Order: sequence, then structure tokens, then C-alpha cells
Amino acid sequence: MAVIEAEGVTFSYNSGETPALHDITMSVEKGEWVAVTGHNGSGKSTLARLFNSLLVPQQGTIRTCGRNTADPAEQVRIRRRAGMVFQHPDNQIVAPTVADDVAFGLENAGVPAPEMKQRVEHAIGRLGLTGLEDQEPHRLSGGQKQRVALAGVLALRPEVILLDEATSMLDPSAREDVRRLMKTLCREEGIALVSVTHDMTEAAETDRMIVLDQGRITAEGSPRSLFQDPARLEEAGLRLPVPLQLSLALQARGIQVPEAVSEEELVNALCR
Amino acid sequence: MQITVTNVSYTYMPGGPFAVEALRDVTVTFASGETHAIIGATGSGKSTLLQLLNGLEKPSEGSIDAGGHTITADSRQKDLFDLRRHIGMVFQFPEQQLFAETVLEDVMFGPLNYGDDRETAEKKAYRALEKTGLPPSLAERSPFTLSGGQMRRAAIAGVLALEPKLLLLDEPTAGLDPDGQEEIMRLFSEWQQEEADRTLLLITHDMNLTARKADHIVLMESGRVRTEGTPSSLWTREDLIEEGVLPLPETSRILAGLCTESKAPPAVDAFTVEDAADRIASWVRKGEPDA
Ligand SMILES: Nc1ncnc2c1ncn2[C@@H]1O[C@H](COP(=O)(O)OP(=O)(O)OP(=O)(O)O)[C@@H](O)[C@H]1O
Ligand SMILES: Nc1ncnc2c1ncn2[C@@H]1O[C@H](COP(=O)(O)OP(=O)(O)OP(=O)(O)O)[C@@H](O)[C@H]1O
Ligand SMILES: [Mg+2]
Ligand SMILES: [Mg+2]
Repeated sequence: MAVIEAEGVTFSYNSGETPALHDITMSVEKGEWVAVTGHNGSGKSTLARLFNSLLVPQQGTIRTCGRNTADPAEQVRIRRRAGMVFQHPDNQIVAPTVADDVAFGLENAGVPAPEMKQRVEHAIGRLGLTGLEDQEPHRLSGGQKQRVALAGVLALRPEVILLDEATSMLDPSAREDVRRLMKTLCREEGIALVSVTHDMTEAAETDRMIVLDQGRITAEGSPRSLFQDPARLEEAGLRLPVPLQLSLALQARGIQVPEAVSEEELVNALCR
Repeated sequence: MQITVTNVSYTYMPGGPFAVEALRDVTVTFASGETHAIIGATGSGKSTLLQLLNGLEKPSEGSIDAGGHTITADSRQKDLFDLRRHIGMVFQFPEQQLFAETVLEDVMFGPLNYGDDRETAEKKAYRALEKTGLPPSLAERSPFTLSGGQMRRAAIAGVLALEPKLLLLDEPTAGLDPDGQEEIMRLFSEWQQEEADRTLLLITHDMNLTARKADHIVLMESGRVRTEGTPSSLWTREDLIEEGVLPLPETSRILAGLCTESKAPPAVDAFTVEDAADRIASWVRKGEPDA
């Protein structure tokens, strides 16, 4: 079942300008993890904003969780069911304390107080924010702000999570931890995940990659299939993930290894 | 420009119930002409340190010497003006530093502020925009309508247009596409090579970048300097790695993962794909009949 369906979507910020997105047709299934990648300015954030109806297409339609994003009566519900974490966390801070900020979406969704309290506590603990509950979100470090934004979406438990470079300021172990958490939500609870990312290691782990170039989808498929065509990736400003680069460099040195896309796969092959 | 930080502490909202001791007795020297990486977990005090070096905040205790200028709790803003004109700072989120009505005006601001006429400032601005890969068609746009990566490039252009002697960069490659990350790092190296005393300090969570570019790494932990050294000297410290305070670059992680039942593990301090491939290849061949 598709939770996001975009058909023939074109969007311009200002009339007369080259559209930021051209004729986009794609879908995201329940429980699927999709990476959206591409050059700076290729339209990734615009696409994410269209998915949760912060923007509305000029041509074509988008249905998110079965609802037309262009229908003003549906917009609040869509944003609750498709939770987004923005590229810049300051854009998302709404409350005077960390705990209130994480609770904000739930309050609006009418979640009963005891359950809300429990979900907020869990999300705060899970994102390593314990002890910062009463701090002002604006007075946190960059990575701490990103954790607050992530905790908010985790507490909300939406059907779709849209992550717009949401872990760009996290240290490597926190980033890995969030990736694992999101993967679990996706695999075990059927939440659909759309990650906008420049991190090829992360992209390699997803079910499907979508490459945008100047507002158009120029490649789409499993990471492994896309990595078969490095020239095409490079055109879109992308690279092969390091484990795969290393596999190819080893093959060039006469070492027999498969074309591994993840560290684990490469290490296992070498240790056989 | 050399920077010496001596016994510096910094507390946000001192005295109140929400006081945060962000830096505690930090002593460290950043040698002139080198590339320094400041790394460490979220909230460890990296951005705070950079803000002190730029004179944006003053130390609660201790002192900083930057190219002969001294910054202490008693320094006056006026005295810092002269220092600041030689420092280019890129903030962690580019939204924090962009402010003008158009991208062009934003990039021109620094040169104008430090005495260039409009024509010269505009020339410098266009040159800087081009270098950072921003098309001239964006020059007249409001910086706040740029994409995240375009904003980062605009912020970097603004800093390069200043022709600084010292660059303080807070996560300069975050949000850039992989091509852009390489281009921008190349720009910084070019800038550095133009004169012998140009010093670059960057904060980053990207260990691949740190391992490949830094001459000197400072690892922060809870507001203190935990340790410092060259990439090879740090990533051969098993204590730090085991404790989990020092994340590994991707190539090192793969090297560290190789099984060690039948042969000694390879050293993990290979930071480029080619170096790591050489090391793994010779490790694999070890013990083979004709090796
Ligand atoms: N509010 C706006 N008004 C006008 N143009 C905009 C606005 N926001 C974005 N754009 C333009 O639309 C295009 C797509 O922007 P978008 O933010 O979707 O890119 P992106 O793929 O997310 O890039 P990045 O990787 O840099 O974040 C860019 O050329 C950008 O300059
Ligand atoms: N404006 C502020 N007011 C009060 N406390 C702050 C403020 N900015 C940061 N802090 C606190 O100071 C400490 C150090 O923050 P800093 O921003 O220097 O960390 P950082 O190492 O840059 O982290 P990150 O990698 O997440 O950006 C943190 O505990 C943070 O919560
Ligand atoms: Mg974006
Ligand atoms: Mg910071």
C-alpha cells in the first residue's frame, strides 16, 4: 500500500521561474525506506515539503496517507501523519522548553496526558536528551537541537517520517544510533521513511534510492543497482559508498571480493 | 596566525539556575599555517570554543592570544574589531550568519565593512560566489530562499571575500553534496597555500575528512580537551577507540573489523581508499603460499 503517491508533480516557487520540480511521479510504500539524494538545489527539500503539504503542487497531485495534499481541510491531518524533521532545526522549535517542544505535536494530536507524558519521556531518553528537559531549545548545541527535533517526530509516531538531512550535525555514534532506530521503526512498525541525505553510507542501507537532478528524477532503484553505474551517480554529484570503492580497489589489486556496499558485507567477505 | 588558548573556561548564563559550563580550563595551541580539526561529541563545547576565538564571546576565565591580540573577560569589543577583520568564520548553520536582502549584498558586506568601495566589493563578491559554485543567477535572490547547501556556499563565499588570515569553520561541509564537499575543501586548501601563515580551524563530525585533511586534531569531551595529536597518533590509540570517544574513519573501521583469529590485525591508520586497499591486500596475502 502506497503511503505517498506523487503523479506528474511540477512546482515553482515563483511563477515564470524554472520549476524547482518537474513532472515528478513516484510513490513510497508502507514500511519502505527511501533515500532522496542529489546536488544542492536539485529539489530534495522541496519534494519533502510537498509530501507533507507545506507546499502544494501547481500541476499534478500528491496523496499522502490517502489524502490529497492540496485539500486545505486535510493539511493538518496530513502533517500529523507525515512527520517531518527539517534541515535547519531552528525552523522547528516552537516551545520554550525541550520537553514542551517534544510534546507539542502530541498535544495538537489530542493524545491523552498520561500517554503523552510517557511517549515524551521515552523519546527524550531514546535521543539522549535526559537532563535537558527544562532547557530552552534555542540555547542548545547544534546536534542537541537536531536531537530535539528527532525526539518530537519519534514521540508523534506518524505513519510516514520525512527526514531532511536530519542527522547532519550528529556525531558518528549518534548518527548511527538514529539510523538504527529509524530502521527499526520502519521494519518493525511499518513506518515509511523518506531520508533526504548526502551520506552514501546511509543511502546504501535503504530499500530504494531516488536521484534528483535539476528538479527531475534521473535515477531510481535499489542502491545496489544504482551503484552499478558510477558515471551516472557522479553526474548527479554523488559518489560510491566507501566500502564499495574499497571493494573495487581490492579487485584491482587482484583480491577476490564481491562488490560490497556495506562495511559489514566487505568485512565478512574478507574474513571468510 | 597562531592561536594560544590558556586556561580558558566559559559559562553560559553564569550564576543562574541554568548555568552551563561549556568550557573548562581549556589550554591548547593552534600553530600557524596548519589545518586543525576540532572533534568531539554533541555538546562537548566545540562551537563555544570557536565563538571565543572569534571574539564573539569572551572567556569567563583565562585568555586567548590570536596573532598578538589578547582576548580576556575584560577585552572591549572595539579592540576586537581589528582582530576580527582578519578572521573568517562560518557558523554551524548558515542561517545564523546570512542577513542581507540579496545574496550579493550579503557577500559584499564584509569587504564594504572593512573599507572597500562598492565596485571592488562587488568584484570580490562575484569572484567568491563563482568559486563556491553558486550560479550568478542566484546573486539577486534573498539568501533565505536558497536551498540548504546553497546557503552554506553563500556563507562560505562571504567569508572568502574577506580575504581572511584565519578561517574558523563550524561544520563547513555539512549539507553539501559530495562533489561540493570536495570542491569546498579544495578551495580552503588553495586559500591556505596562498600564504604561509594562513591557519584553518574546522569543527567536523566527518572523521574521513578529519583523517585526510587535518595536521592536528583536538578531541573535546565535556568542555575539556581530552587529547590532541596527528591523525596517525590518535587513530592508533586503542584506549580512546575502545572507550568510544574517538570514532573511526570508514576505512579504519573496515580495517579494525578484520578478523584476527589466524593473523595479526593490520594497523588501522590508513585513511584513503587507496592506502586502505594496499594495506588490506598485503594483509590478505600474508600467510598465502607465495606471499
Ligand atoms: N523559498 C524559495 N523561493 C524561491 N526559490 C527557492 C525557495 N526555496 C528553494 N528554492 C530554490 O528551489 C531549488 C530547489 O531547492 P531545494 O531546497 O528543494 O533543494 P535541495 O535539493 O533540498 O538542496 P540542498 O541539498 O542544498 O538542501 C533551488 O534552486 C532553490 O534555490
Ligand atoms: N546559547 C546557549 N546558552 C546556554 N547553553 C548553551 C548555549 N549554546 C550551547 N550551550 C550549551 O553549551 C554546551 C556546549 O555547546 P556547544 O554548542 O559548544 O557544543 P558543540 O560541541 O558545538 O556541539 P554540537 O556538535 O552538537 O554542535 C552544551 O551543553 C550546550 O547545551
Ligand atoms: Mg535541502
Ligand atoms: Mg556545535
